[in-house]
Amino acid sequence: MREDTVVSKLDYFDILPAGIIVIRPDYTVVCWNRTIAEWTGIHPGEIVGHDLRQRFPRLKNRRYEIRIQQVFEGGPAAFFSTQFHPHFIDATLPQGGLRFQRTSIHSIMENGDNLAIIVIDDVTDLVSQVHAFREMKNRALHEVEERKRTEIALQEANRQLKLLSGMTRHDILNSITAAVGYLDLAAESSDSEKEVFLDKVYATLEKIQRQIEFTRTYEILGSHQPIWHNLHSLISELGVPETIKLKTSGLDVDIIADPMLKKVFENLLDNTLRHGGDTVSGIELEGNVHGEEFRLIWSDNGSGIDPGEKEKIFERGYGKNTGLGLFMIREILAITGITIEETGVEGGGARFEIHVPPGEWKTSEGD
Amino acid sequence: MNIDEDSIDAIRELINIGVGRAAGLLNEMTGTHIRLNVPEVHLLKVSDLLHGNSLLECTQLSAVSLRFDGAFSGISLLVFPPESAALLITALTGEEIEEPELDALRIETLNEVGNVVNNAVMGSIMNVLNEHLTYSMPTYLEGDINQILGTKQANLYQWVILAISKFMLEDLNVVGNILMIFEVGALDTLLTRIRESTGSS
Repeated sequence: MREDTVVSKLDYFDILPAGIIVIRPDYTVVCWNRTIAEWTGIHPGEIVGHDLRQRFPRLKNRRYEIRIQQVFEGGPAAFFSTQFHPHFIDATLPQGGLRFQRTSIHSIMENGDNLAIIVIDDVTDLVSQVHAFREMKNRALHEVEERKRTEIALQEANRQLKLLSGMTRHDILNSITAAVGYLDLAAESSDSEKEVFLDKVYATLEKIQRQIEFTRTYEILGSHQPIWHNLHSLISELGVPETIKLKTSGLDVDIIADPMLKKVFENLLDNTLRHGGDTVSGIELEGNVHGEEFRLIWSDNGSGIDPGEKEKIFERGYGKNTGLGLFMIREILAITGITIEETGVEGGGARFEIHVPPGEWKTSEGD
Repeated sequence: MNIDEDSIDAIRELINIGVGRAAGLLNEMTGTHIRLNVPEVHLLKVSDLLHGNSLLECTQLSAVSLRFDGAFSGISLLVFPPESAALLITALTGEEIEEPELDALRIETLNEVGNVVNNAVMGSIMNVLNEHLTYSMPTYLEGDINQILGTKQANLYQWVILAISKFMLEDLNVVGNILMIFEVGALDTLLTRIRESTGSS
């Protein structure tokens, strides 16, 4: 285990569970204890009396030499951490892989010999535990983040449900008031006039029916937690008429949104078909990353939106049908902080920009 | 005790040399471009250490200590606020984490950084003095400055050389303090040796 010239004190190192190497200033190995022999598979007879750097050339690097030199000059011990020096001396584990090590080098004088003792601790278990702890902590942090996001989304959904029930009640009451008014007028009118007022009553009742159907469609808004949607799959399920050519790009992205997200695209399609005019024949849906946000652009080649109406179209009741389509789009998206705006040029087609903030989108797995 | 400006200048220069060597070594070890500068070096009574130093007034500090004994005895410390220490270590190791914090492995790494800095500063001084001292292993400590110094030993310490050092790495700018705290009479010995070695009376 040792050179004959060095006292047998070095033999005590054989009973230590740490790897111990003793070297002279010229790196000649004086002692190679049993533990380091077991770790490396190098028998003391093969290395004692030889230059340690021949077996482990990394020790020729200045970052080791300078510090080891300082120890030989009587300086303080040199400490080599696991993160910067995971494998000071390559030592394999029985199951494969290298042992993680923590190393310190100390100066000793032995019978007038200036020696350095290299003490190597096997910290493989500690490294595994710390890495497992870090992974667990990261998972917990992400779960907390997810919960916070869900909490905010639920608060937003609650606000929207209140808004939805309030506006439905208000709209239906208005319609009923109108229908009662028409019936009163009909009661006091001639037979020919009666027919006109009764038609208006039917039209009002149909409107009430649409309003009730609308609440059925949107009653689940915000009642379920936001989920990850794959844009590519979502869009491929849209029932685009054969007369319209749909061109897509950059949709290999998942975004977190209310489960009703599909309704957003159905309403955009409905908007294009209803208001695009006779010329509309194509829709382009393009996704791209802009800084930290994901931007999705829906554009058609229809008649476009009047500049004065760009914000009004998202208001409740504005429009030619229920007046709720684009309003609901904005509300569905808002649950997870996604925003929408119209940025097209009148005559050049409608163009809707959807902004998905950082953290609410990710590149689809497997891409 | 007679503390002349020349001796303080000599100490300032020795610490600067040591810190420069530490920066060079850290660069080689980590493959980064870390720069260390020492803009201020003060010689203070230990009892005045907290006055006007906001960093040392923190209730929670991370420190790597190195005790030395011999012709003059004391303790050399590299001190950071824990969040700065964690930031520095994650920057040096190239880890990408959202909330840096010191765990067992990062504490060990900070211990090495402290070991490099303390050893380089001590080495720079010892090269001039040609003295043999004995040293402890580098030790990581947490707490306020009194807890780090140890209240039982408080009476032993008399003077401190305080070097305020900036660790600059890309966008990171972390301020650490290098403290060399001397036991009663030890600074006298150091200054005498410095005067002898520099040939001044």
